[in-house]
Amino acid sequence: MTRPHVVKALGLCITLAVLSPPSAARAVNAPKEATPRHYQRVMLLGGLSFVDDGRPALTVGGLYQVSLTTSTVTHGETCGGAGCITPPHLYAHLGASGGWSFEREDYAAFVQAGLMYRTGWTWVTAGGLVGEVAMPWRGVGPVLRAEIYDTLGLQVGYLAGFAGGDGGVFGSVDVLYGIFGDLLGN
Amino acid sequence: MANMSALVAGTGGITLMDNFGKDLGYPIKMRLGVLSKQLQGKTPDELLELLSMEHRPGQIAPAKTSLKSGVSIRPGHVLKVAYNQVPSSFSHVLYDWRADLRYSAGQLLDFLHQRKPTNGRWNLVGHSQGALLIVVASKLMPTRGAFAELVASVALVGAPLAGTVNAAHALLDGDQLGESAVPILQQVVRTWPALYQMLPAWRVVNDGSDDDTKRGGLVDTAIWNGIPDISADLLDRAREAQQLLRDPLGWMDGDIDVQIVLARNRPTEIGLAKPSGVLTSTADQSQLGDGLVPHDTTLGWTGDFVRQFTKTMLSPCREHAMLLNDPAVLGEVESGVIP
Repeated sequence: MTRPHVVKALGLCITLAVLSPPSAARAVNAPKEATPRHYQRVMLLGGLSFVDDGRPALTVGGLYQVSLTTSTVTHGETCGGAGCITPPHLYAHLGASGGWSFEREDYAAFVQAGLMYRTGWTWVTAGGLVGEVAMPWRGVGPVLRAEIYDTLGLQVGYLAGFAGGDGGVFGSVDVLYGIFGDLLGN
Repeated sequence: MANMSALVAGTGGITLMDNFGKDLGYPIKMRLGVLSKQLQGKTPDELLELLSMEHRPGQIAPAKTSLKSGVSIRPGHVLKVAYNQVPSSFSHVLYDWRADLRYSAGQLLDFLHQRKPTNGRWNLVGHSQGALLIVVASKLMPTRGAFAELVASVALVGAPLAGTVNAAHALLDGDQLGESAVPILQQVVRTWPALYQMLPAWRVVNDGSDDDTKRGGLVDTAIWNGIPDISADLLDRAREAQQLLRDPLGWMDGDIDVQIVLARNRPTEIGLAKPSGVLTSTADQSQLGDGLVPHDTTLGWTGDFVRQFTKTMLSPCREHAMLLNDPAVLGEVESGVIP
């Protein structure tokens, strides 16, 4: 990114050296090429979960998502010099939450694992299928999960009875825990 | 001590708070809006008084941060909804995103000096206007190399280095606080220097000619003829800010790792129509960007040197306001953080 500058001195045209234009004179560290990499996402959540009943379990928990493949790096005229990065769509998803069930008047816990597809859309930012286990042994089954604005998770599915549990239709809403701080102004 | 990291959030990414500690709310609309639950309950006249600023020509600091008697407004907290993937170890630089970029950049420098890690430096991650503040802060240093004494790495994410048409939308439309509040909101936002200073540096306005070379620039005072309350002083400040943002790495001499992250995955406006002699908010051209920062126009304006440091994020990637919630964007940013 340097270009030769020519100066005239004493009527002679002398090429002094390869000088730099103003920007290139600086020594900010050399730009680094983008490299393919995995990405991950962690969130603390608060939520309500329903298992075959209108009385919810109030839970807190978290999720961890990690891309199944690495990003792709390409170069071209429309890319920045470090490259064009195409992030992966598919993420492995793990989630766990626990709290109090107003239906059973006892503790409740939920564990899930599955696959999520990041859309790149503004509102529905991800969707996927996860396997859900409700405990104490209550049910297990497939659950569809949609993430809205990377902030709100909506789930619906059916849990088959398991180990003496009665299972049933499952639904849940979970929300980024930090949003409560935004709403409360701290 | 090791290096420390700090987030400089974008426009509307920090709540505003009055001098009594009352949070004025959070912007639901992250474009350049101010819609918030707490502000919705106020009458248009109350909003005008509360949120308008006053500036005096030649003075960078605001003369008043609110026109309401006995009230001053300061930054509150960074919105978790927009920055929840940023590690909790990051410090948050708070600033009033309505104010002159140079004033806020001065506050950023105060923060960096006062809390500088012993035997370490700062990793700075700036989003949107926050990225501009990092650039302007470097230009406020006494020498080209002085910024490197404070800063180890810089990540500029979704930086409107050449401006954004959305700033013009905000100035033209006010923003959403209900239909009745629109004229008042127009009046309010036209007192905020930062919006003027993020106006596009390229020639945006089409007055009906097919010739793109005849488009007008939004920092030209005459372009705004017929639009009330547009401040000539604040347009002067916009031109001054554009000078500082030109050659954005120009005062980052020394051992600083720089990366610029721009998205190129959704339509982003680059032109406005002026069909009958009065500037309108109607877009007439777009290109790919992050919905606020046009990718190619920004890199074209900043030049080849800056392009070298740029990572271009393609789909799937979040829109401008939520870039730092995107795992890929944050992954790239974190790769540049120096422990």
